[in-house]
Amino acid sequence: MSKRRHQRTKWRSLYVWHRTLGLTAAIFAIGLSLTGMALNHGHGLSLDRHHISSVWLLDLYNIQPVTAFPSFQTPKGLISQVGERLYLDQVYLLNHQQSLVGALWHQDQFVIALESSIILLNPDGELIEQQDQSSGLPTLLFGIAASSNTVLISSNQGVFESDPAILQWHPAAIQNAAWIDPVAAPPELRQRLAQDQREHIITWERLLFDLHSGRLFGPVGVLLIDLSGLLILFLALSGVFIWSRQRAKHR
Amino acid sequence: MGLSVLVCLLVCGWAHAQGTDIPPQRFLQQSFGGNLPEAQVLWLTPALKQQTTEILQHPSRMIRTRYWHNETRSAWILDEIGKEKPITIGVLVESGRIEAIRVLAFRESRGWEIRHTFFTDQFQQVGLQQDTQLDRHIDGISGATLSVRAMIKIARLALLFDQAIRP
Repeated sequence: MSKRRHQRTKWRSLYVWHRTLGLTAAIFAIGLSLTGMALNHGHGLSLDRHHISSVWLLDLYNIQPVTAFPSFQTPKGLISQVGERLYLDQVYLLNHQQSLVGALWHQDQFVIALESSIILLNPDGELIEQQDQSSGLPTLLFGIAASSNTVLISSNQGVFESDPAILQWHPAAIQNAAWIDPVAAPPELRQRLAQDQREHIITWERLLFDLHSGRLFGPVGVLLIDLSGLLILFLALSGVFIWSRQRAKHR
Repeated sequence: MGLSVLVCLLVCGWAHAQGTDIPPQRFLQQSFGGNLPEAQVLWLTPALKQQTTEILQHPSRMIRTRYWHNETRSAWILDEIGKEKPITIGVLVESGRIEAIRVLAFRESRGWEIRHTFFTDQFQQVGLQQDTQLDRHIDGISGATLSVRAMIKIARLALLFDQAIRP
């Protein structure tokens, strides 16, 4: 057989395609298997509770540090919210989706006002209680102020006042109050909090999922993963076909 | 076509779950037939806090919790993390057994199936054993394991707290 005729025959061979594409697909198959298995056990491996802090990975995700965020000064420290993370000075307190509208220190506890909630923390930053409309709070809060032995909040439904134990809230006919204004955090603290918040956005689970789907590399990555899926599908089908043909030949 | 329909159903279901929060006040009014008692506060003793930590399987951040009660029933509104975000759950306890349990706010992208009655009805008349486990098995939902666990934990907590406020 001439060399040219031999080459034509070689590339018409399903076995040759199976072998060549198999080598090509190997790296995708390994990657998909490893990321897939890791994702299956994401919670057990705490991948959903640990975050990536690598700067170049965060840059790849285009996760930028927050440049401005609200802070409220209290005698016991600065309460700030960066993204969804609340801090007392540089100490992380808790996560909350609602925006911070004010904070003060009252009767040995932090009273933190969010868009439609009040959070009470003890001096150690431990959660005493989170209050909402079931405590009599209005639906939208704008600010907070201290009164003689109670706390006032301004809202879309007017001014509300707490009882001395801050258990319930009632409408109050109060015209003037010293509403707490936000302050700018010191530059060094601002940078530290912004960096800390940036490093708590993307979990390892999310990274693995984006690797598994190709989304980490944009539409091109997704297309490559789709193609590798088709490749693996071809391998499975061609492999079964070759096997059945070999089996029939040896009977 | 079939895949598009499936994706649409999932997205719509998630959107539905996100947009159908039940205001806590409504849950409370429904629990007490419109005759809502004043809120009370349960301060967690060290022993109660220890039991709470054991039920939640992580350190409890609560120092006190609010409740509403009359002679036989108590209502609790408690939060627990599903996978990443808190789920707000209302529990009504009647004579030491769960009368009703409802998801008041669901903030995650999956696991919202627990808000359906086919799941929550399993908690009807469930009580608490000596070891703070529920006295009945609750069937889970595939793909919603963490949400299911969160609801079971809250059910156990509400029953434990109900015992704590009864003389």
